[in-house]
Amino acid sequence: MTDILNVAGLTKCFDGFTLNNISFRLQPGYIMGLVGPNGSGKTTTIKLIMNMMKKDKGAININGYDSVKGEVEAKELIGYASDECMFVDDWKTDDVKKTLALYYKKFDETQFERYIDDFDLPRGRKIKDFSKGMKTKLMLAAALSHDTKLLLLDEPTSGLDPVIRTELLDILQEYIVRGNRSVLFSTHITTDLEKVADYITFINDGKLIFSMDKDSVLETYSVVKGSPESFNSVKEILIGCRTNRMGFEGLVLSENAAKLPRDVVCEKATLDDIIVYHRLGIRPWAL
Amino acid sequence: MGALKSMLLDLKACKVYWKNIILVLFVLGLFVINMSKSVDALFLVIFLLFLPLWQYPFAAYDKCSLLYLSLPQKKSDIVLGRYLLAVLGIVFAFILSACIGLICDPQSVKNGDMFLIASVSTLFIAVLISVQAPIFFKFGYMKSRIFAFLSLGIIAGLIGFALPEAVVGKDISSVMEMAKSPLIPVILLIISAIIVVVSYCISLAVFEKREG
Repeated sequence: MTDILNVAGLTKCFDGFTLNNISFRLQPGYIMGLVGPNGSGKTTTIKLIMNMMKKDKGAININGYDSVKGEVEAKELIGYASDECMFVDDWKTDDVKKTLALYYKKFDETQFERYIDDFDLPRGRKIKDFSKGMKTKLMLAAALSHDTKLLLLDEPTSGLDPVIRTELLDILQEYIVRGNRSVLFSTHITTDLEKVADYITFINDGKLIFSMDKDSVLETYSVVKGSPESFNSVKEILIGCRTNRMGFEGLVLSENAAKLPRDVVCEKATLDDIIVYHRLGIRPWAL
Repeated sequence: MGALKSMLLDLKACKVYWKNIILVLFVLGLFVINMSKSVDALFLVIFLLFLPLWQYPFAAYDKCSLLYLSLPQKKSDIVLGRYLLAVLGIVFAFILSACIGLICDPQSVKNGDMFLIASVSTLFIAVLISVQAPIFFKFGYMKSRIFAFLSLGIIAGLIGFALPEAVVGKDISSVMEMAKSPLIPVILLIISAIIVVVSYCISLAVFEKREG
């Protein structure tokens, strides 16, 4: 089966930051969450997929089209929504419709209108007067109305209230039902991932930590807790930890759980734990 | 085709500035009424009024660059579309000049004054476009605006210093006498075209390398 998205060895260097050798693939019919702390390279990865930036190394393939050589064809297949509204402030929904109709061969005006109605977006109001949620919905309506294969969303749920967030997640799930479409979305809100993501790709400080299915991620890592005395016996296997006078709490690979002393408690890790402890690492003062 | 779409998007993105464009056309109308006896100066005014219009697509792009870059088009289409819009503006100004000339002072069309003024104005705008566009595609709108007006100031300064006071100080008809040759407008238009083409190539090169 052809991957909807295949990213191989993606590298991009900036002054003081390098997105280093990122590789992952997304097959049709799945939702992938792209997670990582602020400044880890999520938005850069998405912009490179969209060919909004020039990559230094690597290859990006979107449903068979190279993201650079086949840029126009690839973008026809992508529904993109950024974390900020892309449209002109003084436009109304009708202006958005006309612009998209101008560019996308398979733009479906009726479908766009239906989304505008479903999302309760006011037709007579300028976009600058829309709320954050309305703007996100408008971008989604635009992204969903031109027969796309891949939805590429850069932090679509940030700043949205829980009701709209839930609505949005429902839309994403509905989007992939046909089985030939996929979603890649970056987020900080791990509860959203727990609800809808099939795969998780985690980038930290420009490096790919993992890209695997959600259940495997949660099985791969464990959280350990113990007293200050037992810290020395586990510090070698810790990926990241927090310490205080009462003891420590940290992240380990589940396969190392067998090496833990008896007084160290081992629990299932959440996505939040995995992200936080990778970011924290082992602080020198902890050692 | 892609460049035409991009040009249309430029026009759509300028929606917020349409009020200004209407205002400019209104001012133009006033000039036509008041200056119908001094058609030579009117031609210059028509072109000068197109200068601010050229700024609007740049300002608009700055606010919605993500949209431009997310749509299925190549970066070269965005650059070509912008230059097409500029050329269209010049052609429109040229035609407008000719129409007003024919209505208000057919003599100015017959003796070639109108074409000389229009070609000088074209060169003037071509220089502005050619300086501003590559800087915009490299550094963004704010810097390009500064450089555009700086270049205008330099041109104005050069004209002021280079031409003898006898020419600058007197009415424009004395300039006409100096350039009666019908070849002059053609040469000026060719120079304008060359400047714009060189500028387009530079813009294309810098925009392809630009991040975001």
